[in-house]
Amino acid sequence: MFIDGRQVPDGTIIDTDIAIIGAGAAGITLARSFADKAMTVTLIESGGFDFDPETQALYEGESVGVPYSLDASRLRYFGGSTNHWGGWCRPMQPIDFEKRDWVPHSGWPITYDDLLPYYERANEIAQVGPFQYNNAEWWSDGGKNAPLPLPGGEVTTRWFEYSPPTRFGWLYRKPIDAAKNITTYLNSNVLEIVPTADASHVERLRVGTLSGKRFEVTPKLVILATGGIENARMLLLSNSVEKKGLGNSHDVVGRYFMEHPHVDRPAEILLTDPSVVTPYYKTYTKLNGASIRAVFMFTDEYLRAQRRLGTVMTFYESKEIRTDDNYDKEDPVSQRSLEPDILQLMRSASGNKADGPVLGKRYGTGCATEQAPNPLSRITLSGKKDALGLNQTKIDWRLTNADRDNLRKNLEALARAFGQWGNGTVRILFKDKDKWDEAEGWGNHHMGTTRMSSDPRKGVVDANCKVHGIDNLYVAGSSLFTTSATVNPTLTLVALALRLSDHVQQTFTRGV
Amino acid sequence: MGDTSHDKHEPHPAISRRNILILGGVALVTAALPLAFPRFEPDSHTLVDALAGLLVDRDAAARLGREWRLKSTGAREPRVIAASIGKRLVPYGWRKDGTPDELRTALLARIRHDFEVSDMVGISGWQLARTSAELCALAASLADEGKHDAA
Repeated sequence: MFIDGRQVPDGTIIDTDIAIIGAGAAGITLARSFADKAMTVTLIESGGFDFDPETQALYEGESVGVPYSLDASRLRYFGGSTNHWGGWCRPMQPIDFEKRDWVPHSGWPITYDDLLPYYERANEIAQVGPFQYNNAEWWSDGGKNAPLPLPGGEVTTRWFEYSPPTRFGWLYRKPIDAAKNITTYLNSNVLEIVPTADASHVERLRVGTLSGKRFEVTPKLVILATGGIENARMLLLSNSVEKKGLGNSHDVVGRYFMEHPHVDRPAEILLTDPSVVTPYYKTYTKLNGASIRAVFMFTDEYLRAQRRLGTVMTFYESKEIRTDDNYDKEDPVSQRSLEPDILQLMRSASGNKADGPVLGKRYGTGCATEQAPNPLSRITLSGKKDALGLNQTKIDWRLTNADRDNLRKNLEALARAFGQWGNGTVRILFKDKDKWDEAEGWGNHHMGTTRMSSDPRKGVVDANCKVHGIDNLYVAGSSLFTTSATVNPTLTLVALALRLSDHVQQTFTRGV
Repeated sequence: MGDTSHDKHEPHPAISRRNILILGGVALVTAALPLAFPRFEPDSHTLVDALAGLLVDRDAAARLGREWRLKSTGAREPRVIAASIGKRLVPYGWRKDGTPDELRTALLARIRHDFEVSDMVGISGWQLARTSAELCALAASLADEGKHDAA
């Protein structure tokens, strides 16, 4: 059942077993998993079924670090940011969960194996194909679509699979509406999570609408699922008892904000023989029951040996290179006229003289790279207020020289791999700079602000996603990520939500 | 016979201390020369030709070589460059009396090795094996000398 919060009488108190705050990918996944179970569920969503500028404006805030758009990078209505996501899905690698001694603050309290069964279920929820992300044999289709045989053991091909992309708000609206135990309140904003006087237990949620209605929800258990930035903001705003915010006795809430810095064309690749490039590298390709795209990633062995963080690189066809080419004077990349010379040099080494004017092809790349967790990269509360009278978000996104240097070194590894192969030469266009104070782009991937750690001094939630020190408050979403890896977060956050759902259901079976 | 100092004075029965110092200095310089300047192999001209013969487009390689020379302080004399490349190829099976195919095989193996050990040079961002860059420098030097016109 859906109820418009603006129609709820002032002062109403709603008793429920479980309150889920936020109806995005995590909140909807959790609500669905509780459908028709022996528990009452209240799903509270700030928006309605469609975009509303006034509600969206509640996301506005200040950016004081690397410039970042708070309101354009997420959506505040039923379905959340799945209303604009691109559908890129891939699980993290086992190494991403590990404590890596060269990555400060790394190490999840769970492993890849803990999450694997949930990843497989998440694949179905996101309407993705078979769970074959690293299976070269599966995508090679008997050798017809073999990945590039890059030697050296540093760079490898892996695959993303695409969700249609699933609009969670559209696809799962009906089953949530039909579930007898779930009531969804739309246009309803949680103003504060109010704990008991000793702040060890959530007592009630204060809820308000932009139209001025105020009511309360009294849950046995709360799951905060408002997104990677808003989860931290909500805990910081819940400060009537704990002045530093809920779950923030160690000043960790909001810290370790991570994104995936995106760089367009950090490198280009010239190939003498483009026929070896399987189409799945260049664009979305339907193959063996999935829509896929191949990317270059860096092997665990390389990351360990060179003490690096990861980067994922896309690869697309750009231009045929010919001996009789007229170079575009408007092209911002200089020295294009040397491209035929580079291809001729490669052909000299292999003794492969071109038959005609076509010497090879130029390929462009794009990349998303991992940034190391950084406590100074953070979300705090701004002094400015939103339309509900709540402090807006202040974001201070930090990228470091080490993050920049890491990407540079990974590009050199890419150059080594293509060079050893002999069919390609890499041109590194990513500039050396002494600081990284401006990002060309990012993924709208908000991670780390309520990070998972067994140690309350290093994380906000434990391995079960429960806020340290509060017995009935849980968090879902990408704010849980201890490290960001290089892959889009949706599949992982859905898997984590499914795992949390199992834990909550076991908790209810035992009695809250 | 003319009047010479030799006529006037008896030859010194022993080499003077000054001459010992001079001779010692000459010997040291002579010994050091091969270190300072790679010695041309008797057939380094042949190697220059053989290496240049591998290039499918010598003008193209020369252009890259000139780009590289803008930021390298390497040799300019073709025989010196060829000798340097030859030394790099020896561990990969190159022999002075080998065939062009053997030379190419050794070159390819050395280029792969350069990439494997990250011995790369950047030319306008393109990451080339150092051996490839030297080959380009050879082409540039030959072009500067007016030899080996475009193939």
